[in-house]
Amino acid sequence: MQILAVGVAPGRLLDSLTSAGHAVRAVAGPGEAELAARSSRAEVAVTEHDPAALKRRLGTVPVAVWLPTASSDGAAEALASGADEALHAGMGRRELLERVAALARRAPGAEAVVEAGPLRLDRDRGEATWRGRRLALTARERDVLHELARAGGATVRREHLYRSVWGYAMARGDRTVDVNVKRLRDKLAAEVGAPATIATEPGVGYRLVVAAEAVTAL
Amino acid sequence: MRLALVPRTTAFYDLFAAAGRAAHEAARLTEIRFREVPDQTVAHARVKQLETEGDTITRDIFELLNTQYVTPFDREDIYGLAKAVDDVVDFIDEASDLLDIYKIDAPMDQAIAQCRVLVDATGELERALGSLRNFKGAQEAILAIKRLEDDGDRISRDAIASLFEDEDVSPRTMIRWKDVFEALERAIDACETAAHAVGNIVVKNA
Repeated sequence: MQILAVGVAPGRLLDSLTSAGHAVRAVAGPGEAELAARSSRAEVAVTEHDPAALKRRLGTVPVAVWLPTASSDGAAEALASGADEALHAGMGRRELLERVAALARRAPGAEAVVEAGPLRLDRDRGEATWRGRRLALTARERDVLHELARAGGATVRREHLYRSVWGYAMARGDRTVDVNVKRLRDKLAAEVGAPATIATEPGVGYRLVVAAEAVTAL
Repeated sequence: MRLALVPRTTAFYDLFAAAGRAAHEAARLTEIRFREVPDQTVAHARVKQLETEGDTITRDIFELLNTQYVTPFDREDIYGLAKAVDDVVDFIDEASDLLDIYKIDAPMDQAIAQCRVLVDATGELERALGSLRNFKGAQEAILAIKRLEDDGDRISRDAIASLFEDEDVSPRTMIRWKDVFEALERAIDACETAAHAVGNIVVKNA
């Protein structure tokens, strides 16, 4: 798992996370964390400082506060001030790791595998398949399809797609999402055909449509 | 250098008409490039070719100025107009080139709107430059360019504002599109400068 440690002093928490095989990237403050989260797709952030300030910078990345000394009041305060989780020195190594893993699972968009009928998207393996056959999509196209599939057939706003896939706010008038959806749509048409299409909701966004026959034929 | 005493005024008219056509064609191709990005059917080389043609026409006008004893309008007005039309094509070329330099991979609605204004403005400029023999339709074309430049200003301001509406817009998006919006605005402004130059000639000679 990719973990961002923001202003966390070296010690027990970081040792536990790295020894468990997590990729921990240590940064000094929220500004640096924002840049790092964008380049490394951090799944969880831990900090010893103000969780609300960090959350504002990181958007959907869940934030845990680390208290180097065991403190029930400190944990309560951290949660009250916006942290998604509070970890403290009174917790055993296993509890710390499980709490971090649970936090990652609860994060929006965290599902590594999403299915829509015969379509399967596996973020960890970096692949998209239709009835087990691998689709030749770019990483960006897979990410767009992942977001559409995750919505379960509901329309996903273009701004939301841009934020989830590109990691930034979409500037008004920017056609990046449309260009990428068009390419994805063309590839789906070539590789899958009519059973899986992307419908346009004019002025709103896009939704994935998987034909009922394709789903029942599973 | 020997000055020719036999006036070749028609050559000036033909050269300005050709310069107008080159500017309009460069704008038309650039609009297609901005609309079709990233799968453009028009390469920047075609716009560059028109810019080179424009340079050649400008040089020809200057050469004619230096060799003709009699010119159809004041020398400084001819010089100013030739330079102004040359600037239009230069700025269009610059904007078109930025699409490749910045590796822009998707259109922006506001840039397409600017390009449409630019196509219309260069169309009117072509009309104004084609009217230098008798000035027929020149005033209408000049007024139309002024109106289009006002539209262009409004679109450019809105375009730049759109990059700053959300503080979380990517710096990459902001840098490249701000430069492109400004380049397109310079091209539209240059049409108005050229229209003023035509207007001066009309006032003195009509």
